[in-house]
Amino acid sequence: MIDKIHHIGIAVHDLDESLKFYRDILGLHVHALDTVEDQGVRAALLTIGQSEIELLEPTRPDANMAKFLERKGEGLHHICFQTADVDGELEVLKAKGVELVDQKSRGGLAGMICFLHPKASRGVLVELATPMDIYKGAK
Amino acid sequence: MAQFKKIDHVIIATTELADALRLWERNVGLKEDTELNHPLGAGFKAARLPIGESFLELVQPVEESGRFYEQVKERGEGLFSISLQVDDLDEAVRYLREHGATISDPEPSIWPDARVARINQGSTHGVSIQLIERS
Repeated sequence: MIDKIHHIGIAVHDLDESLKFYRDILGLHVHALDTVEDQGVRAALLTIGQSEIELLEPTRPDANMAKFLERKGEGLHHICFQTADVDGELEVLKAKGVELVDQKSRGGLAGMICFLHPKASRGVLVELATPMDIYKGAK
Repeated sequence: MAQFKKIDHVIIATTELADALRLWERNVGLKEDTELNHPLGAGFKAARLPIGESFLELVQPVEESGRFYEQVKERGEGLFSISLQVDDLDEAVRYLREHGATISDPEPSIWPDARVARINQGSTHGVSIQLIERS
């Protein structure tokens, strides 16, 4: 069960440079800003309505985000939906045989997260997230 | 400062609307709301999938021209643009121009209840962002 758009992920070359538009001009509040080592990104979440915009900058040249930027340039990267139970959703998806990037949830800036394979939605990279304040832990 | 209130909708370009609808329902659990039928005759067909305070709009070009067709040809299927809702579009356009962003003049949307303006991707780090005012 999906509750809302948690965030829209945007790939950028330079996070600080992109904050000049999204934070300073659009005036969006920076709700979180951190480096996620295992994904090789430095990322910021900025609040808009009940959702957020996530700006992602690669921290090393072999990161997926760096490869994406090389291939496609800056722009829309993924869409993340909030669910109360990311682990339960993953079990349902596995049972249906849906193509996944992550077989189990892992920690991300948005909470416990997983990615579906873009094949599962005709070219859109979909992430599911359960924020830590509502995450109940894996069964 | 202009107020950017929420993500109004996200546009996703596809070459096979029926199959995209099947996959979004099966794999993500989002369904088309046919009450939100799309005006016809713009060179594409579309479906709206409500989610929270926003909706996804799946768009399939049906003619070999137009921005959706160009996107699918150049970048393939996938995320196309995001629309941010504002209360006062004229004020938002004036504000963004004052702050150095390049943005189109406000124009009527194909939706009867809305006006829109598009921010140039050079100002947004490559993202196609549309501002939308709903009456």
